Order: sequence, then structure tokens, then C-alpha cells
Amino acid sequence: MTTGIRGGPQGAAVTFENVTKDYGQVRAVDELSLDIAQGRTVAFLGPNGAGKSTSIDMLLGLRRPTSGTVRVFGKPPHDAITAGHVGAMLQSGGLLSDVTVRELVTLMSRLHPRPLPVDDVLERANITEIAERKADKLSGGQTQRVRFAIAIAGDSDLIVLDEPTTGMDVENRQIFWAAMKTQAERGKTILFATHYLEEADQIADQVVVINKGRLLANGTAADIKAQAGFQKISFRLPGVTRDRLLMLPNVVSLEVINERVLIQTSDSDKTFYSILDAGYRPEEIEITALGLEQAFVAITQQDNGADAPEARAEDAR
Amino acid sequence: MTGVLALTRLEVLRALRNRRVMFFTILYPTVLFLLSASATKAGQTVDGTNISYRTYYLIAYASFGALGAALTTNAQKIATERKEGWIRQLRLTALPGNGYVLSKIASATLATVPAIIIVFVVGASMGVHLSFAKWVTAFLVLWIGALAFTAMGIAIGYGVPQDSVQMVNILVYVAGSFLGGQFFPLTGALESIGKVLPTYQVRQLATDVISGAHVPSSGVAILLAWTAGAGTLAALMYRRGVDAD
Repeated sequence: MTTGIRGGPQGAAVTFENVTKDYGQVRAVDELSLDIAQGRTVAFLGPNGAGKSTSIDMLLGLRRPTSGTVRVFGKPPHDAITAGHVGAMLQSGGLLSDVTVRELVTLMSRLHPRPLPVDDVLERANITEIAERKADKLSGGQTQRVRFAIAIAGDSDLIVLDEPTTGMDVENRQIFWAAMKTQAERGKTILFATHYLEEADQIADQVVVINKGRLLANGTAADIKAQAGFQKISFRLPGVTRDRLLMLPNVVSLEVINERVLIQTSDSDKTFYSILDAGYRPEEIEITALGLEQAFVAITQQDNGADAPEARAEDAR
Repeated sequence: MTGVLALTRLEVLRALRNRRVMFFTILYPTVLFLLSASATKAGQTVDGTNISYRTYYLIAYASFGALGAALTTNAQKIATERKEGWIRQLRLTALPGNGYVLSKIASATLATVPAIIIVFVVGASMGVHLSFAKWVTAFLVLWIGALAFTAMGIAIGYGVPQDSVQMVNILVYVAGSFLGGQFFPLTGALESIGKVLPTYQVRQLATDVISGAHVPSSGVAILLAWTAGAGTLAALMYRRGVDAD
């Protein structure tokens, strides 16, 4: 995984070590420990208020952890940014008024220790044709692309994107991720938070799931799906009750709607044979793998069910 | 430092393009000066002084323009740019932590130059005659005196919520100018109140300098105290704001 870029300990691009962040009484991030190796494309997933944005803010040095340490290429985040290791695209906010897109990108490139030619940046972000437009008079999707250009205006080693495709239509989203893949192929480490799970599934080679400020899962999309309860079994079985099926092995969740049974299981073979062994003869059987989206929902729901309702980090920001 | 320069250059470009900024710093003071000065006869002097009304208004409206240039645009821009996350975005660059506020000070200091010069040029064309040295001294007093307003602009930008900035700006700008004698010469109680304000003192100081009158040290002290006070407040608001960004 080593790509020969200037590196920190173990060549990690990003290290969170027992990082906790409290906002008053509310714990937004809880003892988060995480390594992100250089050269990876990593998706950051979590429901609203899970602590994603707070974690990204701490990674960018915009907020200080209450306890624990964050290192970026072995350095405190602010030092890594000053050294030009990090390019970032924030989630919200307008762009500067009374300047053109080209002027804005030129400024951001000048502010970087290793600036890139402005025309190249405009092209990579697919905004060459809007370069002379005023930066505060763009559509949502165009604004997002300009923000992306700001993130890649210098030759950074790590690119951090907080919900980059919000407000983009399908076509723009594809163009955007194509540009992102080019960055990844050039050896950049990419970390992005997203609400679109199919993006994480297709693009990321590491998926980090955060819920209630804690690390819930960390691995490939396939690992996450496995962790969630790998498959879904669905069949029709007249006269069955929930109680009688709860005894089945490997069942993660169980739903009975009218005569239809929906089971999430970590081992569909074992579960299904047990159904047959118990003497049932279900009809209209379907056995399918979970998508990342369903897997995500499953593991966060398990986690939420695991402990009693408590102060959520929701709206802590 | 190159980063601060690049940002300052863009700030100046932005100011030149912004109609609201041009209106407040150039057009508005110039038009008010023309109206006030034309209403007086050449050579007619302000009661109890040896300066003509036209010279009085020249200094008054040049200082009014400098006030607008130093105070209003920065206060509004800082508040808006904080709210919209532009300052956060700048914190993700190699720009030094104080680079943003330095560029704002620099651009305000540059913006006051044309605000003063244009009123001077219009005044000269209307028959105000001063020696070159007096033009330069008056310019320097107004220009350096405007630092107090630059500091106030930064304090307001960081200290006042974005939706209230406009109101606070107008209050300081209009009330400060009214009581500072920017719109007409003050007498009596109004003047007594005005004397404690930097708008009054900066205008009076420049007027005294060109009329050859005695420059009272109390006036200079009041102006310096305002500059130091506003500068300290700006630094406090800035630090508080940076922690919250």
C-alpha cells in the first residue's frame, strides 16, 4: 500500500487515536481510532448527526478534539495543511462574490505551496466553460464543481470531500467521480463523506461507518455487507408466527408481514436448512445479497438497538 | 506574505467591481459635496473661522468618503464571508492565520485613497486653492485617521451577527457623520457631543492643518484613543470570531 509519498508513521495518511469531541453535554465523537493508508479512496458513512462532519473538521484542524490526537501524514492537521498535504472541499457555504471562477481558482492555487496550472485545474474539475462566470452566480452543481477545483488547485496528497455530490444531477455526478478516479490513479489519498451509498459502493476501496460518534465498521464494501448480515431470505408461509421463527440460527432480523417472512441472516444456508428441518415448506423463496445501503441501515439499526436511547449527537453542530 | 498579497489584490478587484462599494466610497460623498459646496458662495467663510465653506465641505466629505470606504464594506464582507464559510475555506490553505484580516486592513487602507482624492479633485476644480504641502498633509491626516474606522469595521464584522451588520453600520456611519460635522458645521450642544467622536476629530484635525489654526492636543489624543480602542476591540472580536469559525 506504500506509494512512496512523504509519509507519517506506517505510511498512514490519516490517523485518529482515541479521539473524543464533546459539545457541552453532547458527545459528538466517542473514542474514535482509525488509520487510513496512503493511496486509498475511503468513504465516510453515517446517519445525520453521527459525527462525520465533526470528525472531518478535526481532521482538517477546524476543530480541536476534546481528547485524543489526529495526525495527517504524521503531523498535526494544521501543519499538514500549511505544508500543502491537504486539499479540501467543505460541505456548505457560498463562494466569494464579485470574482470570476478563474480568479477564485487562481487565488486558491497561489495560496498552495505546490500550485498547479490553473487551466489544468479548471479542466480536471470540468469548469473550463464557466471559468469567466461570477463565482456566486452558479447553479448548485456548478458550485460543487468549483469547490472541487478549490480542493485540487494545489498538488495535495490527501483530498477531503464533505458530501461532494449534493446538488448534482446524475450526469454531473458521473463526471465528478470520473475526475475523482483520475486523482486516485495519480496516487492521491481520497476521503469523502456521502449520503449516496451507491457511490461508496462503487468508488471507495475502504468504507468507514460511524454511528453515534463511534466507529461501527471499517473495511471494504464487501466486509460491511458481511458484517451487516450477508443475505436476505424472503418467502411466503401461511399461518406462521414470528415467535416460531425466532429460534432459527444466524438470524439478524425478522419481519412477518401478512404471510410473507423477511429474514436477514449472516448465513443464509444454515438459516434456510433449519427452516426446512423444522418441517416448514415455504413458497416463493428468494435469497439475495444485501446492497451496501441495506447493509448500512442494518448495522446502524443494530447499533441503535444495542443500547437504550441516549443523547444523540444529532444537531450538535 | 505572497498569499496575503494575492488575497489583497483580489479584494481590491472585488471592491472596484462592486457598485454598492463604489456608491458609498466615491459617488455618494462626491455628490453630497457638490450639492453642499454649490449652495455656498466662493469665499464665504464658516462663522468664527477663516475657512471658506467650500474648504470645510471638501475636508468634511473627503473624510465622509474615507469613513464609508474603511468601515462599511469591510464590516459587511467579514460578517457575510464568515457566515458563508469562506473563512473556513481559507483556513484550509497555507495562508497564515491572520492573512484574511490583514488583507481586509490592506484593502480598506487602499480603498480610502480614491475616496479622499476624488473629493479633493472635484473641490480643486470648484476653486478651492491650497498649497501642494497642504493638500498632501490633509490627505495624510484623513488617510491615517481612517485607521480608526478600519478597526471599527473589523470589530463590527466579527462582533455583530451578519443580519444586524447593516443596521449597526448605518448607525455608526450616519450618526457618526452627523455628529462629526461631516454634513454641516456644528455649533453648541451638538458640537460638544461631536467633539468626543473620531469623525469630528479627524475632520477637525485636517481642517486645522490646512487653515493653519492651532492643533489642539486634546483632539489628537481623542482620535488616537479611538484608534487604539477600536483596534483593541477589533483584535478581541477577531480572536473570539476565529475560535468560533
